[in-house]
Amino acid sequence: MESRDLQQIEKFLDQVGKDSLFAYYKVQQDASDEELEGVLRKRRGWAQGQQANPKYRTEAMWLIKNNGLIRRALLEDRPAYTESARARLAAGRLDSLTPFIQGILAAGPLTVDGERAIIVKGEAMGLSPEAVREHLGTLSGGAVPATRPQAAPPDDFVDYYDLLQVSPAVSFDALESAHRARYRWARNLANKQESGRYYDLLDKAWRALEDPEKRKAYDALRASRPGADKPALPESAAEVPASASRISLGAPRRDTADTADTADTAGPPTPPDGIGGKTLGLSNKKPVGRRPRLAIASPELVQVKAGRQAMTHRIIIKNTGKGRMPGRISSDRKWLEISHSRLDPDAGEQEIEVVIQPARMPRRRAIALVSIITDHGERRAITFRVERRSMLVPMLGLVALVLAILLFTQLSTHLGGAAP
Amino acid sequence: MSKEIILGIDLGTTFSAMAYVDQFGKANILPNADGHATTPSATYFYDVDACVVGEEAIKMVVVDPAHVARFVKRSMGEHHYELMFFNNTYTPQELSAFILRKLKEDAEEMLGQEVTKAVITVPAYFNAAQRGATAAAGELAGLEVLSILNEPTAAAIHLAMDQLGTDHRMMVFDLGGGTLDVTLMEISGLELKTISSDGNAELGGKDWDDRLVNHVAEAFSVQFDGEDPRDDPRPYQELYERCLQAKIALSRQTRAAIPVSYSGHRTVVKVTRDDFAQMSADLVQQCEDTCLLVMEKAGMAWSDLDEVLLVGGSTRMPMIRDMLSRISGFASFRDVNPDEAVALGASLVAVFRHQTDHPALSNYRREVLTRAGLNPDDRTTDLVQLGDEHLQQASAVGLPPLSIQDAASHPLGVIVLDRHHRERVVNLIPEASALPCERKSRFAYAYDNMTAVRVTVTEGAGRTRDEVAVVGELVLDKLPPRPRGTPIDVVYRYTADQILEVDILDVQTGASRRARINLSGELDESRMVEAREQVRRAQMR
Repeated sequence: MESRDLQQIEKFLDQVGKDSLFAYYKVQQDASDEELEGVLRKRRGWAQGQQANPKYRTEAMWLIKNNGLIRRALLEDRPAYTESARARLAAGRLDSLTPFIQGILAAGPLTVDGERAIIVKGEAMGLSPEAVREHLGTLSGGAVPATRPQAAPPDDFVDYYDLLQVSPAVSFDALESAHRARYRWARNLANKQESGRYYDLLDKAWRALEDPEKRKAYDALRASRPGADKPALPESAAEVPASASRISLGAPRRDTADTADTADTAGPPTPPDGIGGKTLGLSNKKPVGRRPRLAIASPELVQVKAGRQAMTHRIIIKNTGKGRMPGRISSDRKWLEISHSRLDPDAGEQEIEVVIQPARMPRRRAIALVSIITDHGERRAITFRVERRSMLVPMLGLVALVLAILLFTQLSTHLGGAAP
Repeated sequence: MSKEIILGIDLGTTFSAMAYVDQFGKANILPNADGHATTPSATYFYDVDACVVGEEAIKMVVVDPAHVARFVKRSMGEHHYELMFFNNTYTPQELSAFILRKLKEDAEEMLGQEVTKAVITVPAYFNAAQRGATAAAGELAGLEVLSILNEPTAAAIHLAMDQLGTDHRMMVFDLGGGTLDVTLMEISGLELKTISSDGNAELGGKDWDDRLVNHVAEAFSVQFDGEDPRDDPRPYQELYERCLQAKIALSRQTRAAIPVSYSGHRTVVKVTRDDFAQMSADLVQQCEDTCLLVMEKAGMAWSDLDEVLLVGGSTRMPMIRDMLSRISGFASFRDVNPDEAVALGASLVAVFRHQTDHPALSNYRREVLTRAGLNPDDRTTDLVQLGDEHLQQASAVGLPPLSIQDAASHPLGVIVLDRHHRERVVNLIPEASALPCERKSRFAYAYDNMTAVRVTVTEGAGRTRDEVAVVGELVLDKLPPRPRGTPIDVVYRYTADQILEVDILDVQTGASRRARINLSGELDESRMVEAREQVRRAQMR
């Protein structure tokens, strides 16, 4: 398989929205040649029947013209293609893992638990530990040991700014209010053991930062640590990973039993400890209770009457579940443009602007679908029925008005002429 | 009838037709074995090596769409397009050959004599590969293809027979099932000349059908919760056939109703002529743009034209006629049987060019020469006027001196490196150059001490390698190393048979290399033998 061929296949997969040819043909990577032959023949029959169908023409024609290429990829040179498909899949997944890793790295040096959390999350996404480690290596800018250090020395440094969710340059007043807010948050945790642990940490943090001299000393210590110069993440983006690492940083270990409780609260998400006990490589499920849930708060059928002017409409998308919700939004018509093509993964509620361009509609009445597909597999569609108002009535009105004015001025000049 | 007959064949995207010239010199449409003037260009494969072409195949499309080959002309000349039926693969050439074989066999049945020769028409916009593929299809069907003729030329000959010998300028607007061809032609004296031509190989009646299909499918999908009849090949084909009928109906009447049933739901979608015009407004716009472009290329005004000829079934649509009246100012158009004009013209050309001893020709010649103000008894008059060897030969035996000059349908160029060493395409033979033609251009070494230069021949309009098709390559090597800027001449000679000769000439040493590039889509010899066998052994009755 040449890279040109692989590129061509990838372009096609992008068009049909599939990860690999295996997924497209709905076969396993280790399917027998006979099975594949059968599947290919069946799809080819479909393509020959649909090649003139306006809805599927591009797809069908590609299948017909690239039959040789597909056969090479799936039958003659399957190992090479499988490798490339895996790489493509991994690249896509590594991309979505990146924010998580960056979050952990931003919170301080990589610990065993942090790394394990990353690997477990990677495995949940179907990534091999080696691939994740390699990616981690490039992200952290240094080599990550190929074998995980089994007994890393306990590190009792805690990034108090991170704990208080403020930037290191924050003023004293802001620091104080952040501390108070964090204290309240800790008190509201359902898990009282967890609350106690945060009280301790918050007390320590306050003692370290309340006095300007002590704060300077703490800042110096913090700056001396590797990874400290990483840009502080915005609060929301740091949510999952930062707290995961924070717990690992010298905080008291909790029992596995706590996990279920904490998962229901708004507090720190499932720590790596919770799943650390399992054998790596077998855990294919996402951590329990952390599923985001997609909800549309605005109407799912939008009926609009429009003139020729572009008009905007807002869709409100909510995440009623827990955890980040990455996803995509697309429109199937050119005359319907969308402000974002991706969901903000961290927003609980977000507004998407849809711009309707009635002038570009192929006819007076048209329908468009805006599809919202999240990475965790939920999908919703919002139907837009747009009717372009005829310009005839307003135009006639305008003409009538102009005529009336003309008539009136005519009349008045006549009258004016008659007066003397 | 002992006289040999040469068929004129219009091999269309959706319909094909054939014609012949009878002993009285009149061109006649030859109906197929079903008695119809046109034959649908579709082939249905029953089984291994058993197929049927025409009406029967169209009927099967609704039941078994996977085994019907249709719209093959749109894929003509494409290398990787192959369809598979019962483990046999078929190239567009072979699939077209089945249609041609059906026409040939029907013609033999109707005429009661063997037919082995034909003139086949192609859109003027077809490139050399597509023309070559069409010729190959004819050969596979057991026909000797005497010429590949441009469709507008053929139509113009048929429709303008009366004007031969006078000065006449016309636009031939040919909108068929799959292609649009707009050509400006000029009859001056006894010469028929293409002035300029443009078209779109991807625009035809099929696109209007698709608009209707999409409209109906979307209306259905809205009514029945996202059910889309296009998702399943069989319901799609059924819908397509109904939309096709509705489209034809909308040319005669102002409204049509299209019944759709799919996955247990049933509805009727009503479409008015205005709705239809609205949903295909951009297609009409494309036609309009092409017309304007052709006029612009020729540098002519509408008032310079004597008439607009309509060819192709899709020109029956009122929206096309309205558009043409609006831009051209002509209130009416001549469209004697738009489905048949091309085949009729092709049969006339077959006789003029290749059957110069046809009994009807001497009378006809006399008539035309008289109209042109020449003495019909003076056999030398026309020889002096026109030097073409065809004509000399033909005139000697009584052919009206009809000369047909075609133009290059696509620009031919070469890939060079510019000042910044980026690849760029320089066109040597521009589009619409009258054939034959020759162009020479001087290029230079891009780097110091080069010992070889490569000429990459391209076809098509465009500035980068991706926008054009590379049709050949020629290398002049073993050159002495010299500095950057050393001149090299490249000569392109494009013959009337659409063969390109390329010369590379080293100006300083006089070293040269020449290659003939056949810009055709013919299959290589081994594949051709195999294909011939495949077409021959199929049972078609």
